[in-house]
Amino acid sequence: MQPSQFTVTVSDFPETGKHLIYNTITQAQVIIDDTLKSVMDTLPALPEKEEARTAVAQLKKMGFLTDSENDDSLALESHFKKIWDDTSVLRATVLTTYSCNFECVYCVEEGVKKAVFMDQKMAQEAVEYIEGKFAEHGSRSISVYFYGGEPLLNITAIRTVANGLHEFSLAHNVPLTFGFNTNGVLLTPEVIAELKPLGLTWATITIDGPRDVHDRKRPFKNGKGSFDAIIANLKAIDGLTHLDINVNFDQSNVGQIPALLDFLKEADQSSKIGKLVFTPITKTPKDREGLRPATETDCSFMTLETAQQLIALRRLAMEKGYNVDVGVHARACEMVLRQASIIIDPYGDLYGCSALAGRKEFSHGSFREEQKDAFKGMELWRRCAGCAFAPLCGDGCPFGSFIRFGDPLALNCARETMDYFVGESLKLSYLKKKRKI
Amino acid sequence: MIIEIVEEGFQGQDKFGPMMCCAFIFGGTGGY
Repeated sequence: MQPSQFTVTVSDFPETGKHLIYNTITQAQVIIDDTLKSVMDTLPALPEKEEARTAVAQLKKMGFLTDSENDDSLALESHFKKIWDDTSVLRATVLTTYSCNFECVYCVEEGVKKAVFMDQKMAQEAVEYIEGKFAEHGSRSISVYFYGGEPLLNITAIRTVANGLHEFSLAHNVPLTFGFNTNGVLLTPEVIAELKPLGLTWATITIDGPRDVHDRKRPFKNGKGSFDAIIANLKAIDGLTHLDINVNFDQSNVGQIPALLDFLKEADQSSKIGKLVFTPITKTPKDREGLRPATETDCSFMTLETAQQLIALRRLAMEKGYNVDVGVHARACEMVLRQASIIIDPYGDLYGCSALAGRKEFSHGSFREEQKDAFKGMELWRRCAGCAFAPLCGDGCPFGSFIRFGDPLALNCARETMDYFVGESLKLSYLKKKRKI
Repeated sequence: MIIEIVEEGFQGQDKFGPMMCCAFIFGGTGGY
């Protein structure tokens, strides 16, 4: 017997002489003492004391220990197979438009944004395509994510898709939920009132800082600030739907985010926010080509510095009383690792990843003429089979690889970042659970 | 010895966190 390669140790936490161990496959977390850690470190020699043998057996059951490296390999294989085989939820992303009423300085959709809107016929065909995929995968529920551009610029398409799928869900007793990321200026109480009976369950609005910071980073196309319009909607929505706030950050605004958190508290909005999410701004193809000033692009999402800033923001937000998801999750790339996931753009073209949508070279046809998706089911994780974090990152993000190297299949390893990020996330998660933050 | 079980974990490995796409490792929203 030996420690599993997927067992991560946070030493001397929550206090000296105690250690938090975490398994990236089973997601189990246990606090052990020095004695048991020594036992783990000296395996395969088994301890003599009965109490220690019992503890070892329990750790084995929870996945912290394994009989052999081969068993670890089999466990990883099984992990990804289960994700692949899980078609219970059909996940559909529908891009209603490539148009946007904002001109964010860091927009990753450069070269993709244009005044293209999904028309009625296409929206109806999207409904039929989703229904067909639902049957093909034998799914039991449908989750739809409206995306863009700014998805609410084409509320007609949202209505058509939502109404069509709602009818399907009623006729076949299929649970349906949907939501969208929106810049927030069109998310009014009226929109929520209309869409909620059809299955709207969540929305995420992005605010990047206090007024001056946000308006600099996320202005309207005409250059005017968008902050006041968003805050007015936020106040008007007042709990009508589950609402998360997303804050995109890089070096140019990370220092002003505490002021945003204070502003939202003072405006009495903090308690109405479901969850506060911080998203590192990713680079864009222009950055790769050196076509953009560095001041806006210091913060690539795979760097250790970014992870440190993210952890600091999460901790600060928790200390200020916000609900922050600090856990470590086994997440799986929709594009590669999940079969019951579809992304439809306004033309009816199909993609594996919403971030790559609009870049025709990554499309696998349209729902009128679908081709085999070359990315789907690729076992890229095999090149990371020896890594403790493989179950969490599954070989990383193809979009990140595309941004960094121009090739979605290039290995974009963030091992150093993961070492730090997973350890610190486990600490925050533990402290949150114990209500110590 | 074992001082505290913080999370039992899932032996069947049939439960995964929410996944919405890019910036996924960091738990981003999958969109700006």
